[in-house]
Amino acid sequence: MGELRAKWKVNMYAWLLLLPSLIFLLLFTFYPVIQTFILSFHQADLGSPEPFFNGIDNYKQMVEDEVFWKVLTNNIWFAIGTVPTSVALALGMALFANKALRGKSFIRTAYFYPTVVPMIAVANIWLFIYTPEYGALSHVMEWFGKGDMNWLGDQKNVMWAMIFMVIWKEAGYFMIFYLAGLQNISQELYESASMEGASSWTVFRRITFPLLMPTTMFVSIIAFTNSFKLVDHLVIMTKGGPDNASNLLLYYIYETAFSFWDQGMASALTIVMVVLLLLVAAFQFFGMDKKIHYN
Amino acid sequence: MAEVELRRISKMYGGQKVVNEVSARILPGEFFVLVGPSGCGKSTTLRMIAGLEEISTGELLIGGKPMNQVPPSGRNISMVFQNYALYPHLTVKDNILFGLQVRKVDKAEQGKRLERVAEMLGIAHLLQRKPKELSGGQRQRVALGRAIVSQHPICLMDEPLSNLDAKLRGHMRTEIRRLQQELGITMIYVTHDQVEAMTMADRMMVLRDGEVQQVGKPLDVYNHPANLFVAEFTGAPPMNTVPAIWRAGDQAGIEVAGQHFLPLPMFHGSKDQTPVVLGLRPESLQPALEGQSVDASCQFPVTVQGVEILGSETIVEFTVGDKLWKAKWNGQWHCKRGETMHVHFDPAQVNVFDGETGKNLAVTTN
Ligand SMILES: Nc1ncnc2c1ncn2[C@@H]1O[C@H](COP(=O)(O)OP(=O)(O)OP(=O)(O)O)[C@@H](O)[C@H]1O
Ligand SMILES: [Mg+2]
Repeated sequence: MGELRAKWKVNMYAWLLLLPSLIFLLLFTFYPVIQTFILSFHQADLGSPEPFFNGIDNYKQMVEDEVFWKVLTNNIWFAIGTVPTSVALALGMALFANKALRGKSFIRTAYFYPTVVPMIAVANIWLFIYTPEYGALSHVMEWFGKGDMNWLGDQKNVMWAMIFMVIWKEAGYFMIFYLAGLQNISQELYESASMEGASSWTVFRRITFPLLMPTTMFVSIIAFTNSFKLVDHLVIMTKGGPDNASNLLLYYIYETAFSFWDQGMASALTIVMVVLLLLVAAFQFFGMDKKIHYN
Repeated sequence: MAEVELRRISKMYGGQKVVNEVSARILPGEFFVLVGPSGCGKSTTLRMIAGLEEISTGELLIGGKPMNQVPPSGRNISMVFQNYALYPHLTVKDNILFGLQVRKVDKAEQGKRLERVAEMLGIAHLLQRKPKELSGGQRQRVALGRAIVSQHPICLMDEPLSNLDAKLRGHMRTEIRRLQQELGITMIYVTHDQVEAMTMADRMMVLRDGEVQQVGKPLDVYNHPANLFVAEFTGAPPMNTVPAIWRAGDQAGIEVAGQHFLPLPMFHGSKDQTPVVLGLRPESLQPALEGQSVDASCQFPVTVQGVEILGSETIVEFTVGDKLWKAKWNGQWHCKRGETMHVHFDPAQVNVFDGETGKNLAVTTN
């Protein structure tokens, strides 16, 4: 009897300690997810004063919606364009910043500063850079004798312009994680390798890179979720245009919810996005994790 | 081939000289120990030999060839690091073979060497494990294996046993010594532990603040320390010392604390009234039993201050002058605090040091 009570007391204590974070988790994560999930099976647009259940109609419509497929394809290309490049670039920058003896902190700051600039400001800066005729990039292109190019107005170029900008914005942030990862590798390992006469490439391939895998994994997941999350620039620069050429899933959800006021459809889109992100994260976590060495 | 020679090697960090004109000639197949207190420049010296640290001034020769400008991999040296420097993501096998793979040694040869080393160190059953799945002693063995497998004639070790517990340390000491002798490696071994130096070394070099204090065989260093520092650094407990005064004249000798006079005929040249320091090893002080005939000048009464009975031996503490001395006696002595006893010593085991420079007045070399 007494034992049971003591056990209950311990458990109670644990629950009390968990309570604050549990409240926030329930209130701002689980509850909205469940609500969204429920709403995605309802018709809730301007035409229906009260949301009513309509089964999987929203999902059916979505599959038939060309814009949805276009936006999804865009987003996948956006992820493919930004994730590996920004991660690789971050690694390269970290290796360089870690090595450069003089001006180490200057280089680090220079690499890192795009991270501190808010995305909205970044979008404005790059809007100017990409402006036809009097934009910075146009001037540079003129020196090379290239004709004027409309980066944001052209369906073929706009995605590249966005990808480039986001890489610039993110690589410095990821570099910080790599720098921390590099600091964690014992200097003795490098000295030992140098006693064996290993070339820098061998050292990188066989020591540095494998030991940075946990960082790479973490950074890749962040980069991937960011490629679905980062849409602030669209508001400033293109509004998803021209003809949805630069539109991304989250911005499309936003438009559906707050421009077209179709809450049901927006919820269905959201569920698709959440499931997609979960799948990728799960793959990275459970699929790749076994191959990674953690200290 | 495997001779290492240091010619007045120094290391400057900024304006500070942390290694000062160290010279030594380490013979092929020799077990050479660098020993000294923390921060005396042992690791720095070793790292300069390895090529991991630049030599500020002086010359390093290996096998008679100047090595100052040669990268570490060209020096025919392997090294065991203090924290073993095992690659945490590689298996024991890959750790051991890393160097051979880098140097593109033939696969069959790699297998042969791996097998031999694994057998020699008794780690054959661990080859597929990662370092974190090993105990401290096993990691140590893998690190040794990695050094041996390269078959370099010279091996450097920087405090390789400091992460092990006392018992394992004793065991690995003999093992390292055995391997070194079996393979005929020239070993340069760094430690701050004088016991390690005494038990393992063919020759040892005592360093202090980057300066060489003495180089010699362990027993020579122990019996004839070149100066006070070496005397107090070696032995456990270290040598007992007390300030004294040299009396010249027809009855030459030293006077301790204004009372005890010890006739010592052997030092010439010291002037009357020179301040000196008298040193005696704890085991040189033995209890004088009744009925034993000993020269009265080699015997003195002491008041026991403390007793530590360690089982096979007993440490007895008492004051001489204003210094606390320790005597080490075989067996178990149940002395009481405050008890008065007579201790005697062999005058041949007395060390006399210069009061100012600390130099041993009997040791002429160095
Ligand atoms: N990179 C460095 N910059 C400046 N001073 C250094 C550097 N490395 C070592 N020193 C100094 O050089 C001296 C010798 O250092 P070293 O590491 O050789 O000592 P050690 O004898 O190996 O000591 P320990 O037994 O503690 O390992 C120390 O006073 C240390 O502060
Ligand atoms: Mg050291």
